Amino acid sequence: MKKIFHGKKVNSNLICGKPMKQILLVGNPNTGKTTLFNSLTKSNEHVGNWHGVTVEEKGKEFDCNGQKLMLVDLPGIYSLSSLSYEEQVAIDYIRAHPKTKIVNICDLNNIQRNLSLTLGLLELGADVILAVNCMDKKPLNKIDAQGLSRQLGIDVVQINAEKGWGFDMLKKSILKPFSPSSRPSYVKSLPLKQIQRDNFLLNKYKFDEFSLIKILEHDEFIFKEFDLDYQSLKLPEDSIALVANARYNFISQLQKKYIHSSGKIYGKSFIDKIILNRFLALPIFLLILCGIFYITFFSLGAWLSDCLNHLLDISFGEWIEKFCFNSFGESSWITHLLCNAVVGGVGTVLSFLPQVVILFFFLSLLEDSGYLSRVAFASEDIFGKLGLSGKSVYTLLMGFGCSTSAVLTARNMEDKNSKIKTALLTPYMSCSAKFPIYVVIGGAFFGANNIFVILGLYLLGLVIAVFLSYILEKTILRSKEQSFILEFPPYRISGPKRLFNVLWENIKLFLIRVGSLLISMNVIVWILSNFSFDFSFVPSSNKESMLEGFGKILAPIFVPLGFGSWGIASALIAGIVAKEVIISSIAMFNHIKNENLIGESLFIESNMVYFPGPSSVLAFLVFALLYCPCISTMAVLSKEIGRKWTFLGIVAQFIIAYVVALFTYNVFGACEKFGVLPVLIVFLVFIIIVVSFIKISSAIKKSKCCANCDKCKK
Amino acid sequence: MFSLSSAKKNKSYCIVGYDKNLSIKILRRLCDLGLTIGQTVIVTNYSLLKKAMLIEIRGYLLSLKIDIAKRIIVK
Repeated sequence: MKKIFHGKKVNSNLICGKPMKQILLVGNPNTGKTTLFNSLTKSNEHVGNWHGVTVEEKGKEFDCNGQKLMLVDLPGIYSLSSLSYEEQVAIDYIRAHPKTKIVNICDLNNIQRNLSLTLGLLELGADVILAVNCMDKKPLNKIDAQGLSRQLGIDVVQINAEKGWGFDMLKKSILKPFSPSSRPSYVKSLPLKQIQRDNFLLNKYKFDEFSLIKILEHDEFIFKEFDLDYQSLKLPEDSIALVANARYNFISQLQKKYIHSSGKIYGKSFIDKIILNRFLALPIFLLILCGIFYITFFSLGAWLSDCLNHLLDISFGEWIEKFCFNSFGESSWITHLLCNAVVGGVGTVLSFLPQVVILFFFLSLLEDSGYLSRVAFASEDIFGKLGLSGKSVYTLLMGFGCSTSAVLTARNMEDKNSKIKTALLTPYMSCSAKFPIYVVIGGAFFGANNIFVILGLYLLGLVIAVFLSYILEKTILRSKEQSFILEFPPYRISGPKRLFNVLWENIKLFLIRVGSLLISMNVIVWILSNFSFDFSFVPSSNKESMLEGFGKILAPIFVPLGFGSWGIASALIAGIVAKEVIISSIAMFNHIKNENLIGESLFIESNMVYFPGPSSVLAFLVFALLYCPCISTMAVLSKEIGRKWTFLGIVAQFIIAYVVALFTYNVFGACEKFGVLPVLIVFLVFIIIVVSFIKISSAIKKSKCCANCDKCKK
Repeated sequence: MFSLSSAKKNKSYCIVGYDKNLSIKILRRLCDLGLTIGQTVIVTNYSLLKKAMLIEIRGYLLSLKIDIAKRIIVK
């Protein structure tokens, strides 16, 4: 099986000691680069109808008519100057590989705009193949490929990246020997010689035409490389617009001869009148989210989960138990390990497979539909006030699926502070791994009302993220001005092949995660909870287990939150590796082999994991939601925003989790004791006092006079 | 001549220039996306608090912040 290389490792693949010949996939965002990459390399990399799905370079070997080549998929760019981090990744890669063939993918529906990048690549003198991707049955444009090819001096191939049309022609073009393209004719009309004449400084270096164009465009890369300051240079007024006008005038000439346009607007749809209605847009989005959560967690998802749980119990569980009893005996430690760690621990999490898969399925549908750009637009005002951008919606929504992959998408942000903020807020979203905790533990205490508890937890994560973002924006992470320049893709419905791939990939990933990480973690937790420090088996020796020893040290920290048993403390520590481990550890500690029985075991005081009442359960759920990201998310956070911010983020998360859980335990505890109404009255009085205090103090500040104090009298 | 932010919905305007306060990075991006001088633009929608707008340009849809639109001069 060929391996996909990510990031800097792409360059490390060798053939006979030499780096493998690379082919770069370059194009505007959302033109089908990754779809082409998947088709040519037979991979299943993540795609979506949203700009910036690919955030780092990735390469894989592919067979090009018998020759082995490395195909490199790069993040989407609009030109060879960047506005965000993922764009810089692509531009750096292109500039670092000057003698590499580039397959420039254009969307046929929007070729006029896409050709601007093609011209930028030709200005660079790169060897370019223009692959025009026709994604729809009725495209908005038609092209004369041969005419375009003649005019641009490069191969122009029409393809369908998903279905594989035109790949033979594309592969033939790829195999042609490397030949740098000639620069487009309009380059001669640009004042390149003039700026060399006017600026003596520029004659110190031998700038080629591409570098001079970039100087006209005030490109930071060139100024940094040659230690130039554009303010000290004498450049024509509006030189940036001058270059852009030259490119687009050239495109207009091409359009007249070789592109036949239908005149329709790309991405425009009659549904947008409702979807983008100023007052309906956000309620519609919330309704859609509620619908997704309901289907995933309560109707279809819950039913499928029950069926799988039943199936696992009567087939897998009973079979292993019988096998162990017969082979090793009832009291053997092997029987204990297999029945507790594998059947109990892993089986409990495995039954949530349908719900996790359904959630990812719906998130993929949303991502493919083109609707998320509309949501980003609708929520831009609210997110803008919090120092984020509407583009953060994508990252936060992906956080409901998996925080690790969601954090990576924060690279879409335009400035560093927005990127750090978005990445730090992502772990506050309830990822799919936390869901089993809510269902099993919440369900035991709240029954049918658990739907409101789960909804409340999802909302709580969101509210805390929003609140934190506001504080960060006002204090240490003030964002620079966001442009919110975002292209609107057309609405699309995912094809059956794509839907099958999404389902299959998520089932595979879940099973791999359960089969590797979860089993190994469960075995470690089992060993720690069943062997004492002198390594004697605890159930037969009645000594204190290693985990009990550690857990008892930490348990007092959680006493004020209402769940001070060492079993819960140990489960929370184990959950740092992966959140699913919390529920599998609880099942193991209480010797449960079926998910449905965990709930009952939590009421029994003699069990290792025991909750005295609903308020302690609520505090536990709140704490589990907020206390810290899993290890893989921490690693990605550290890579993306640095160790300092990751450390601060984790510490802040723990403190916030503790404070909110403490508040929850005490408020709900008081409600249990005195009733809801008195607590509500006290709460309202408290809020009135605080608000009045703030209002009075701000009024005093505004009047700049403290009534009749001595200073004012004087 | 006035800024794009004060343009009326569903009416065509022609870009005639950019405000000097527009940052170079943003200006370059707008030019890359085809918001060049002489180009026709139509405002099609506004967000809830009118902090962002949706425009039609060169046959496709593009959203941008109103603060950016304020620095694009149209007639």
